[in-house]
Amino acid sequence: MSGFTITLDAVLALTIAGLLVASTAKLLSETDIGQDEQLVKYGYDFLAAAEKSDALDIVSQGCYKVNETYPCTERFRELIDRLPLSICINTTMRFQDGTFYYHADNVKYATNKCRESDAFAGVSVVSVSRVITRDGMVFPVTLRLWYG
Amino acid sequence: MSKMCSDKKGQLTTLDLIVSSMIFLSIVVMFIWSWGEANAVVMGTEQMNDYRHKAIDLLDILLKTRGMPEHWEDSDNLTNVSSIGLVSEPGVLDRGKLRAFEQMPYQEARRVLGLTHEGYYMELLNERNRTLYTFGRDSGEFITLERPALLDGDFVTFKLGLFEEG
Repeated sequence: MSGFTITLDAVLALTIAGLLVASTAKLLSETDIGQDEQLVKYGYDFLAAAEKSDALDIVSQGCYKVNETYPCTERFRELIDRLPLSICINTTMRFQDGTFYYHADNVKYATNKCRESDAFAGVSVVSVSRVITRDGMVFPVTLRLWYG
Repeated sequence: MSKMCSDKKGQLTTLDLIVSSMIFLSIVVMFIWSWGEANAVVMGTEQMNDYRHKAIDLLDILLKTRGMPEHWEDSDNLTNVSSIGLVSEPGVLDRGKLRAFEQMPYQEARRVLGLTHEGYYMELLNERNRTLYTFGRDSGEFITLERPALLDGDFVTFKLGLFEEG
């Protein structure tokens, strides 16, 4: 038989080589662990600062969602709007029983920054939570963050 | 005649050898090149992660502790200062500490911050993105991180940049 023949050994060697290359590429893409850590810390600090500056007093401001709009100017939304464009935030506040109460984000549909779809397109999204109490009620606040 | 045929068989084997050697060598060259590239990427990422972790730790110390001693800003002798903190309570910046840190000599601040091979540049921005305070040297940062904090009840952004410095 002339020319090259693919033997079982060659198939095995090629498979192992392919696996090695694939695992190295995967490892290289996962070495940016510190970025997620920074995002988590940013999220916790953001929630802590927002609570201390009374920006999370959405409850006492009466910012209930009525007909898709919020009937008051919330400081919390202002804070989110002033975040650096590189950091995308999506906040949800719920009642203690888990039912939806309030939502705010800096997702801009008109620009390429912070698109909601980014959060589902392989971009690393971190989630942090804080529980705030107002008027004797407990409100879990969850923040989802990702780089836009 | 039959002898000539056997000679041709030998030549064919040599051609095979040349082709296979070329293929083998090109694979070896490609492997060495990709190994070098991967190594450079790993080294770069490792250095970047080192800087990032250092910056994360520094931000934690500056924005969550008061420093050591607690009122280090009143200290006349900087050699007594073992740690710098810029807050009166976690996340709430103190103007007295900010001013003291702003006036601290750069090399002295580097020593207290534990930066042996890194230089730093820090900036405090208000809600309208205007600079309130700057610290250190602006030398084109290698890595920049930022955190939210409060100053006099207002939301501010604290930026920290690190770069290589001997």
